[in-house]
Amino acid sequence: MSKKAFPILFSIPLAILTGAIALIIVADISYVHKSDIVSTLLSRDIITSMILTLETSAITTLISVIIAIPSAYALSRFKFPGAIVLDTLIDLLIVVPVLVVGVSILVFFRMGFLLESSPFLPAALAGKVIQWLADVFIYQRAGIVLAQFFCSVPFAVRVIKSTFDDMSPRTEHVAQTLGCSRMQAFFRVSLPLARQGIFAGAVLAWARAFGLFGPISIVAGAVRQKTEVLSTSIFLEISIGQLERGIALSLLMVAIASLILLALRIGSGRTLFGGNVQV
Amino acid sequence: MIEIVNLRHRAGEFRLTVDLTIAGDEYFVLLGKTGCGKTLLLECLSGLRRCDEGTSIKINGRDITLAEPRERSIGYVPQEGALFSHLNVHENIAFALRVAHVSKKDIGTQVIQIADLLGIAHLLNRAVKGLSGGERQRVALARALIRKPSMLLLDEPVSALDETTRDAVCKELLKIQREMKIPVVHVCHSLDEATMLADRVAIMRAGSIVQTGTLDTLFRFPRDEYVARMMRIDNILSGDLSARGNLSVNGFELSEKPVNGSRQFIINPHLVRVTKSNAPVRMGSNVMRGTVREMHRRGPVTGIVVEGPLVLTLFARPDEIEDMGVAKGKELSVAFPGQAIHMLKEGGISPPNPPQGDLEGIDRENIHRL
Repeated sequence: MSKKAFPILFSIPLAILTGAIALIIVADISYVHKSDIVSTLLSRDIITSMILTLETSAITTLISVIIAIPSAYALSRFKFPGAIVLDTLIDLLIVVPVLVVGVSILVFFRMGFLLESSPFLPAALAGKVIQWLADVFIYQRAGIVLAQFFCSVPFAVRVIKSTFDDMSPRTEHVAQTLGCSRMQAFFRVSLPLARQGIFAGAVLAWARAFGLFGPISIVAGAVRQKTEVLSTSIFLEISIGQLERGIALSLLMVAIASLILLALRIGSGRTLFGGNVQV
Repeated sequence: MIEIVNLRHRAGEFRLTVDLTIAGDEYFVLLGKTGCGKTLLLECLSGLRRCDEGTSIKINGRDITLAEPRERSIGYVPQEGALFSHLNVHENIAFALRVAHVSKKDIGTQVIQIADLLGIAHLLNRAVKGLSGGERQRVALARALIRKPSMLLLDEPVSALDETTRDAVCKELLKIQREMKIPVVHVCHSLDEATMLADRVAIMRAGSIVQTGTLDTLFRFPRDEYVARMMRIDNILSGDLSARGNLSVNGFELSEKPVNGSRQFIINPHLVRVTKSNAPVRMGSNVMRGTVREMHRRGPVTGIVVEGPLVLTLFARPDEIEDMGVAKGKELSVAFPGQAIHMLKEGGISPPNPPQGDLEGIDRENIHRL
């Protein structure tokens, strides 16, 4: 086998895969007219929807990372009874269809209504709290974040946990002997050492939140100018027969996602050429 | 001085049981095979593991048994250094001072002092990533020493280095220990390392210390077969009783009698000599006639394996070999005094603890239950 054969052999599947993705995007581009894109971009509904999508996905990413870091660390480092059950519960959110997540959130809030009328005081109080939470989340913008969070956080936990798994606890031990408490050792050593994994987890969480549709429409609805995100807009446009506008919106999402992902990757120190071995 | 009294720790099925005293300026080497509990003991001393009730650990009279690692005033260098790869060399060394909120000016002065001492001043602005093995260990050492600890714990600090670098780092370790006059506990499984460094050595097996002493003591008077093998003593033998009650191997009667019912013994290879005598073999004394089976270089001397009633290894300098005309296949007489024979305690090989193949897994579990 010649020297070049090996990289060529492995690059063929990569070329097919990325070529297929590029073809789909090209098909979208060829389908819509410039005028459709311009009118879609200038629509007030769409501008609101775009801002809401960017806002909610950013908030969701932040919350996901804040929750995922300690959760992933605990799952990676601590041994306790039931750890495997908790690990499986988190994976469950990745495995089940996202619609199930949305429906389950709704069912949970309905439980508040049932508990409220319970003769048992603690249950009635819990019901009231759940009812109050339902008012905060259901058909509200907070509901978008809630739905996005449940669908995004397991990805962040998974990636960050594997980073902590790969990291030797020795560095933390050394930090402790150098005057750190366990908390200080975590913040001064483990957290900075895990930054690339945390970044990767955040990117995945953001990507999931940004493109989410099903559970958002179930929990927050699809109210124009209020709880409409870009994925919902695409669905609404296509459902009323505005295919061109739907595709124009899809391209808008592709463009935003590409720009943000590229910027994040370059920002994290990766070059435009990627890889470690020169081909 | 470090006083370890009744140290007990359980890690799964494995039990660590140690009583030990280390002098204040002593370079102490813990020698043992992989999985014998050496690292576990260091982690107990550093406070990363909590010991069982009844344990007492004191440094210079101060009881640190229940103290947190950061309160113990110890320097800890694990294998391969465990440097913080997100910090450069200067930041790594200054880490402890930063945690202690020492002023920037003092940090700068102290980092340069310790870097000069270890010959790494030229590396201060370098990233950790590109450092060689020896440089990494020097940086890890500087990082551990900058707080001027009361005790230095080194966990196989040079085992991953090539021989030349290892020897250079060992020399520096010894120089620094003598300069700072602090006790060092150095864990390794290499006798060469122990030979270069140790004031005193403890041989560990299956969670316990089998024997403690200077290298010379351990070499001449190993407690049992395990210690003898750790000291790489060649002539480990088992005998019967002769009619006179002396030790006897394949009909060759030795001048010594068995002690405490044990019939296992060593013959110090450094006390075995080739004799010029052509006299017939005197059975029943410590002179044996045999054939040279093997000759191999061991540093400045040559190991000669002579096979007669006993298979004995002895060492000779090149000039002695030439003088005696020793060559492979040649017959010759060898003699050794009674003091070359040292009786071993029997049963020194099979460990009382289960093998520690999975100790890494147990490690993490127990550390995080603290």
